[in-house]
This record gives sequence, structure tokens and C-alpha cells, in this order.
Amino acid sequence: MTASWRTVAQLAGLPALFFAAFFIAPMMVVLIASFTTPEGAPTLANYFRILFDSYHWDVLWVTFRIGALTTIVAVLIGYPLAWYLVRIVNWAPWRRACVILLVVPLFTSNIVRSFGWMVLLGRNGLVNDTLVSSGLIERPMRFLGTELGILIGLVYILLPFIVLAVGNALAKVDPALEQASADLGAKPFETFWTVTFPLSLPGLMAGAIMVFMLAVSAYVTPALLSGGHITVFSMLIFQQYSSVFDFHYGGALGITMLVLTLALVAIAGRIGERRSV
Amino acid sequence: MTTSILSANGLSKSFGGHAALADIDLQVEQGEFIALLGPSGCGKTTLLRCIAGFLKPDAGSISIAGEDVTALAPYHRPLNTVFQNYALFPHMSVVENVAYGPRRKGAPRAEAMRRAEEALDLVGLTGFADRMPARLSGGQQQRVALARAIVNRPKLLLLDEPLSALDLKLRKKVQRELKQLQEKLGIAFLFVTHDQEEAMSMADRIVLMNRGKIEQIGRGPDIYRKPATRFAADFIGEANLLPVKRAGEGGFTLFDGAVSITNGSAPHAAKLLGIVRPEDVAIVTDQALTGFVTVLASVEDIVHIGSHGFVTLRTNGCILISRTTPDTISKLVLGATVHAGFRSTDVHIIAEQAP
Repeated sequence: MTASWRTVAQLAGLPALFFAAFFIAPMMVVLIASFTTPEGAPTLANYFRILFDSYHWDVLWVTFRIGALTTIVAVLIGYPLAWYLVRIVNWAPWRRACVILLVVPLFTSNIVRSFGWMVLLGRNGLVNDTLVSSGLIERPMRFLGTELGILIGLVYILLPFIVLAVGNALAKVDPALEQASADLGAKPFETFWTVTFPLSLPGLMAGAIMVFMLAVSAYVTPALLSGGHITVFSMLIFQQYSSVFDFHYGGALGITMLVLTLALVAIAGRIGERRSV
Repeated sequence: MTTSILSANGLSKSFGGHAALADIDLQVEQGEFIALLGPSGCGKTTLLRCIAGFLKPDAGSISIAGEDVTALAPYHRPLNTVFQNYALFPHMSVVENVAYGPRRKGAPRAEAMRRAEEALDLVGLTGFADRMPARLSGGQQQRVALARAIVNRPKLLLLDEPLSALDLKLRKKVQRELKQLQEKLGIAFLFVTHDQEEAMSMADRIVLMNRGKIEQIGRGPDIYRKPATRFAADFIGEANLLPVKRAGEGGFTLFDGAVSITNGSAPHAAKLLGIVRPEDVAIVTDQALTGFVTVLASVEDIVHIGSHGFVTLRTNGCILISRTTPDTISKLVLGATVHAGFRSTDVHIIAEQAP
């Protein structure tokens, strides 16, 4: 009995310690800082400062709008792309090449990739050159410093998460189910809509939630592509920690962001759950 | 002229140079229960998938009730399939699974649900409508798959080893129920199985397949008594396969001339093979049996399995297996010399093909 308890303690202890050291402790530091004054007295002033200031709400609105749009666009591009990779490509080397193309950027620094987009999206960048020379627009468009520019950068960086999550879900759908559907008289689109899509929904939701969370908490991409014209919430947090050195106010901003994000994800999860039953 | 429910003509299909189906001809009549029987890899599932429309044959045509469906997609074919692992939609309840077919055919939701409930009653799953498939036992899932496949009243039902995932006892019970249901509905069943007992006990006719070809088509007892090929004799039941030599007009010898028989139905072929079922081989210890041809043999092995037993006999270099009663077995000892006998009419002679 004691031996088994010791085993359990050893087996569970290490992961618990790991979580405590790397996740819970930093979280607690931020949480405690957010509820205290620089002198160490407990206070809610940091939160009142955020909640009763419309500027913060404006920034939150921009942040979550960019996050939501990023998620929607990434889903709209990522789902068909995942479908293409899993269902249409049947030449293994080409599929492997596509997956590598998709995943390799994840290994490069976010900063490098965002700078890449700065070059591409600039006034004389490749995107504007192409658009102008193809006659789609007359004058170069402004991407840098607009939400569109940030959106493009974020979608590009976060797309692999959707493709991998959906691709994995699609690969797991038993082909016999689609055959059964066709056997019962369903045309290909009906089979997709009534069988394949609902079965891939958990993967899609997982990917979408991941993209949304990463998009609203992104710092580097919005910071580089905003050109100082647009502020998202993570920039506010960064300012407090790196320039103002107000860890208490910065902590409160961080916790506010975390709570709102989790709340939105929980709501989305509940909606998704009800759908799939 | 009556039209067959299913008519497959000259179907061929190969995968990477390997012929999975080679020139298959098959007719299934209204209300027939056909078993597609054969060892794994014989092409029976490939044939089923061609008929269902999931595979496109390389050559040949398929008609259902007189209509050529060779070029039709699965969703346009007037048949339904019970899949091997049932392929129930995991995100739909039992009744939604069953109502799926009628809904796709354009039935309003209420009517589709009513028909689904009826089909569930028919397979004995009344009251299970709102369960999710994952919460059902294997036998219940099998019934849902069956209800889903018959709810549209297809002209032809394809069943791809539907009982292979069930345990032996349940399988026997479901076999009987399936047969009764088939008779009640009058739908033609094309039933894939590798289990010869299952095929024998359920099917009106058996289509025996091997290596992408049909070896023999016929009623179970006919194939058992008069197998057309060595494979048919060996695959359906136990068989003694004995070399036969022609000896004059209508006369033949077995066991290197030790036994002479007459037979009017033997084919004209250079090499002949005699088939004797073990239950036709009798054993006596001291005397020759009247009406039987007998041969002296030594007892090599005895296997007792309760209600009966198998005795392996060696005679003139041949092995002869006899299925006999516990009573006879109790009098035998290993190595003893006995008389083994069978009626000459019990010997079915076929041509031995070149291997």
C-alpha cells in the first residue's frame, strides 16, 4: 500500500511539479501583481482603470475583431486546403511536399516572417506590383498600418494550425461512412454536409480555437505590420511591462485579456457541442 | 421472359496487374438468397463493391432489374448495402441513421421517421430509436445497419460479411433471423461470407469463388454432393480426394487397383479425381460389408470430438478419413488393420485440373 502510494506520488509528482513551475507559478505572479499596489496593498484599482476606460474597450474590440476575422478567413482557406491535401492529392510525394511547405514556416521566427510580409505588402512590394500591373487596382493599396495588413500576416502565420487540425480530422473519417451515405442515395455534396463535415467539426473547432487564441494574443505580427497606426491589446501589455514598468497594471491587462479570451472560447465550445449532438 | 434482379456479365477488375475478378457472370433472381463464398482474397468483396458502385469494373456490365447501371454512381443504384463493420453514422441517433435513406430519397422528416421506426420494429429494435450507435452492442449495431439498409425497400441487398464481427452463438441466432427476414421481405440478398457453414445454412444458392473466378454455382447440397472442382470439394466440407484410374468402359480403379468401381457420370479427362465424403466411409474390424467396396487399411490417427469422431486410415499409400460414431471408435486401436468401405455410388469423379 505505502509502496503503491510512493509510486503514485513519484509518477504524478514530476508532471505536477513541472506544471507548477512553468504554468502556475508565473500565472500566480501576474495574478497577484494585478490585485496589488506597488506598495503591496491589495487593490482593485488596476481593474477599475481598465474597465472604466473606453480606450481599453476600443483596443479590446479591435483585438477581438482581428482575432475573429483571422479565424474566419483561416477556416475558409484552411478547410478546403486540408480537404485538398487529404482527399484530392493521392500522390504521396506531392502531399508530403505540401505538408512540408505548410509546416516549415512554423520553424522560422515570427519576426522574420512578419518582416517578409512588410516587404511584400509595402507600397512598392510584390503584392501591390502584381495588383497594379494586372490592372485590378490603379494605384498601390495601403496594407501596412491597416487591419487588412495585420489580418493577412496573421492568417498566413496561423493557417497551418487549421489545416493540420482539419486534415487530421478528415483523415480519421472512415471512408465506409461516406460510402454508406452514397449507398443510401446521398449525392456527394449531401454526403459532405451530413456526414463528413459534422465528423470533422471537432477538429475544425480545435483548430479555430487555437487560431483565435493565438491571433488575439499575437504581438510581433500586429506590432510590425501595424506601422504604429493600430494598437492591439498585447501591445498595451507589452508597453506596461517594457516601457512603463508597471507590472501591476500590466498584470491586470494580461488577466483581463485571458479571462475574456477563455470566456469567448468557452461560449464557442458550448455552441459547437450543441451542434454536434 | 423474366428479368433477373441482378445480372453481371463478363466482369473483370484488376489491381496493379493482379486480377481480382476475371470474367465473372452472375444472375440473381427475384427474392433469392445468394451466398458469395470463398477464401479471403478470392474477389468476393471486389465483386460486391463493383455491384454497389464503389469500384468501377475494367470490363463487363452490371444490370439491376433490367437497367444497365454500370456507369451509374452508387447513389443512383436501386440497391443497399450492409457494411462489414456496419458503418453507422456515429453522430446520429439510431432512428436518424435509419431515416437517413428515406430523407435522401426526398421523404418528409415525419414520414422518414415513421418508416425508420417501422424498420426498427422489423429487426427487433423497438425502443432503441434515440440511442447513439456507440452505446449499442455489436449485435444491436448489426441490426441497425440492417434496418438502415432495408428501410428503402431496395430490390437487392448486398451484405458484406455482416456477421463476421459477432461471436459464434449470436451469429447462429442472427443467421436464422436474417433468413426469416429475407423470406418475409422478399428482397434478393447477395451475402458475402468466407464461412461455408453460414453459406450452407442460409443461402438458396452458393456462388463459390476462388482466385477471381467462379468455381461453381449451385444449391449448397448439390455442391456438397457433386463438387465441380477439387477446390469446391475441399472448400465445402471435408473430402477424401483419391486418384482414380480408368479401367475399361465405365469402370475405374482406386488405391492402385485395389478397388474397382463403376461410374456413369465421370468426365472424359486424362487425370481423374475421386471424391468421397468422410461420412460415407465405414469402418469394420473383421469382415467385409455387403454392398460396399472395401479395402484393407491401417488406423493412423483417431480424433474424438464428442458426438462423432474422425479416423485417419492409410491404405496403399493413400490417406482415407472416415467420420464415424463414438461406438465404432471405442473398438479401434492405433495401428490395427481394418476394412474400410464405401458404396461405389458415393464416389464422385471429376477431372483433375493441371495445378
